[in-house]
Amino acid sequence: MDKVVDIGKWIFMYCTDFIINVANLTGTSYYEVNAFIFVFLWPALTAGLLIYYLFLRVRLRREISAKQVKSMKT
Amino acid sequence: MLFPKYSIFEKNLIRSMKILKYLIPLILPFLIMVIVNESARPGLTGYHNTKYDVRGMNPNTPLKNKCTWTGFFDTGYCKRNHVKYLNNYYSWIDPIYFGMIKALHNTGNYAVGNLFFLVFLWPAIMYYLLVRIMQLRKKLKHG
Repeated sequence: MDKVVDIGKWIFMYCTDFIINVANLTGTSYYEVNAFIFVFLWPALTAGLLIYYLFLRVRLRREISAKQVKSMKT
Repeated sequence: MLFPKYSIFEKNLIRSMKILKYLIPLILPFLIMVIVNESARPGLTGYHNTKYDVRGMNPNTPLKNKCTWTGFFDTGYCKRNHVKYLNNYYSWIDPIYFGMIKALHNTGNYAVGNLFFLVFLWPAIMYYLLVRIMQLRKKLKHG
């Protein structure tokens, strides 16, 4: 279990180092990269994916019911 | 019959491509992280985080021209010295930004909470939605 916790801590540090490195590479800051990813990008992406997924589900359901109606008529 | 007109090699190639299609969105972000970190590593001095007993890649010294771990420990320092583009938006970013940090602290272990929600759970939800979208699009395309 200690090994898992150690790996978890290492991953956490590695991810934080990634944000700092991206900030330095883009000439921005740790705060801005964090805000961009976790306040703008991911929430927008998640909402977009969810909306598109629901839209496709509705479209598929409509197509299936349309096909069923068509087969009942013939 | 599955792939009737293809050779065994072609069938395996098609199967591998199908698996890759689902694996790439999962692996690519982590691959980008490793490439960015490892390309930045040579010029960095690093520091030992005594709380987690792990060595970080970047130093923990406050520098005016560069972000370091100081920005992680002291957001105020980062905001005063490094922020260039979001100065005018603090009023609506801060409640979300610090709300998330507070929520992660409330899990009892900030590092574990951060790792669980931001590295595994949230990306897993996005990945699940992406895979479902790919499957639904395939179903709609093929009827």
